[in-house]
Amino acid sequence: MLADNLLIWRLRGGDRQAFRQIYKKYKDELLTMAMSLLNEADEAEDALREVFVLFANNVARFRLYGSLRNYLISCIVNHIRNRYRQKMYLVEEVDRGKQDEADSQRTEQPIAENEKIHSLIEFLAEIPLQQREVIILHLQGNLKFREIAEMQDTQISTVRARYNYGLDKLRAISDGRII
Amino acid sequence: MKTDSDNINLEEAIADIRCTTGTELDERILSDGFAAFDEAMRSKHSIWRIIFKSRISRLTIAAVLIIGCLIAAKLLLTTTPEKPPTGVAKRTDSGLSEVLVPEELKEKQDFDEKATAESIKTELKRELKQIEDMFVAKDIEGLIAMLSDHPQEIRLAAALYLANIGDERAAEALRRLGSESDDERLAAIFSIVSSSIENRLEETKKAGRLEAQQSSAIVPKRPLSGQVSDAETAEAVIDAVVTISSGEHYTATTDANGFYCFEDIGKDGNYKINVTSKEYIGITEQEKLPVVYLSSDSSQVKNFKLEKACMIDLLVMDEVNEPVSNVEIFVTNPGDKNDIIDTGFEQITDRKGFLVLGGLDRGTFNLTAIHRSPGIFGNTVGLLPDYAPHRVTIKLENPNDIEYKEIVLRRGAEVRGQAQFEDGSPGSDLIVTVQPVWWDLPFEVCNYVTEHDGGFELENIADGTYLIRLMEQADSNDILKFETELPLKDEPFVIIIPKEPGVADSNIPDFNIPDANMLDVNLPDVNIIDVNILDFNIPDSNTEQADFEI
Repeated sequence: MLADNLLIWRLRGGDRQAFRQIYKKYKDELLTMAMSLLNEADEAEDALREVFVLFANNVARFRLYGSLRNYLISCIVNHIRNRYRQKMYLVEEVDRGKQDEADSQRTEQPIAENEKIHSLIEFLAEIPLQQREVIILHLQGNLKFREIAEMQDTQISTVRARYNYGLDKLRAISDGRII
Repeated sequence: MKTDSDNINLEEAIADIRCTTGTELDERILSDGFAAFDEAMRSKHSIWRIIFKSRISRLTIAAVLIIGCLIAAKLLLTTTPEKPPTGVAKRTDSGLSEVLVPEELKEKQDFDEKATAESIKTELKRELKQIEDMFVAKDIEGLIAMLSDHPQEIRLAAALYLANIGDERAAEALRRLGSESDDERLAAIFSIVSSSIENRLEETKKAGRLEAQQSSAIVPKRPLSGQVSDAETAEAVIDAVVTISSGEHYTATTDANGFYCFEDIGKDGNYKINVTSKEYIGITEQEKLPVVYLSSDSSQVKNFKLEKACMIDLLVMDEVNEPVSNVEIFVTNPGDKNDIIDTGFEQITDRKGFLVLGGLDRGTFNLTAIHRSPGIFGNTVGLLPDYAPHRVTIKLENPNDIEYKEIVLRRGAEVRGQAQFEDGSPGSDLIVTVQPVWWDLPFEVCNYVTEHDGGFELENIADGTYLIRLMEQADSNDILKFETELPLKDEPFVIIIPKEPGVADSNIPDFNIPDANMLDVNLPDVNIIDVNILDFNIPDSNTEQADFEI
């Protein structure tokens, strides 16, 4: 926590190395979460890039009130949520006959080399985004249900239910192929 | 059917997903991030940013713009040309007069108007620049002078800048000029700006009074209280930990105003006071600790002024750049062997391998990183390291900078050895300690116990020269100590111990053990190191490779 505060302090003072350190510190964790949420390597990388560029862009008026890690996690989750909504909109457009060839030709480049992990990410992609979010934030982000509830602007009980439903669905989808 | 183990496995599998960025992606993001960062830092100090940062300024600007729009609208609707245009007027069919301007006359008029407008524009720019400079220099009097005898735009701009500065003199001048001005529009604007400055000043005063009340409510408190502040700037030190000790220890942390207080102590008596802080050089040297007599029915106030400390932002990684947690960092001064510098804070890396070391004075320091896994394993006593210990040296010069340092820990090799006495009997149940020759900490990183056949296994031995000591378990007296390069090409190596228990180091005769090359020829089964018994003579701390006799 103190290290993050110091990094922010240095960053606000114009120290580029502080930005590099923050990036180095959180990049893999954020990329893992983005990949788990999106199941598309290039989109996950884009999300990571967007979050860090936006963070660098806003550094002059940035104030850290809590954990930098949680802040960056919420940034990437919000970004992915927005992207997801846009994507849903695109899907509706395609349904109406306006086929987006570029989107349909997008090739997936899995980052996770391990086949088992890749399968797990694919199974995760099949459950609803909100449930996926809760599972990823809780298990990979180590966030408490209370923190996730604040992030999703909902009740803790709802978050807990999403978590349990999500795991149940995941188990049903994977049909014992993960464990 | 769902089972708990299914749940746990699934959850563990999700938690264990790891993705990592490639070098190309890192470079792309860092490049874009740096560009955005540079742009943000450039615009950070922009004057307009400063102006728009203030809520009052924004309100004032909004008020000025609204009034400006109203004035413009009023002028458009009601004004008539002050000077009749040159030309011929004629009555039209609709009854309205229309001005007819000859073509050449119109062209000249257009040219004159353009030149005049250009001249006015240049003059306005110059004066606005002048005002901007005054704002930067906080030249209140200069800005007040611009409020009168200048074009309306300049007077408005000066008022706006004064609103941002929020000085009492500006409020008075604006109020006065507002009441004196014949121009109703300017009077209204000056009045608004003056009121906004006064409101702002009032808010500042209220905040100041509140802070003063809070401060007075905090001190003094019994039996010991006080404030810790920056020796140079008198700013409050907010992260300081004050500890009083007289057999028992009590700890208090300074609040946002730098105040600390101990509300209760167990017994009356003399207490030593210790102050630590990451950002400041604490009072930690035992001989220099202030002593104060405290009793539960009296109050004492002790204030401390601390100087800024140097800080180190440390990242500990392994050979594949994975962060290493649970690494304890010991800070020592190269000049004072066996004297660990106590910064007053726990110095263990977090799960991301990070640790911020603070409270250090200027100077050169050795940082020794020791990874420890708790537990007792087989014949290993104490803490078994997962990595070989490592030491780096760092020079700290500027308390305003935070030095960044990376330490890379390596997993060493396992080295097997055997202890035996001169007569060939195994040296069982002996304590073996092994530490690099550069080691300057007053403890051993790991002790091993020889088995019944005299065998032992040393864990995580990185390439280097080591001091090996053998001790009797019963009395912990050294029975042998020597230096050797580790790990060896062939294992196990055999240590021959003289069969003279209790003999002093200086009396132990030299051992006649052949060197490693000879061993291959003469003793194919085992390596026997040729050692001379050495005094406890650690080489210069800067030299990691020590000489030893063979």
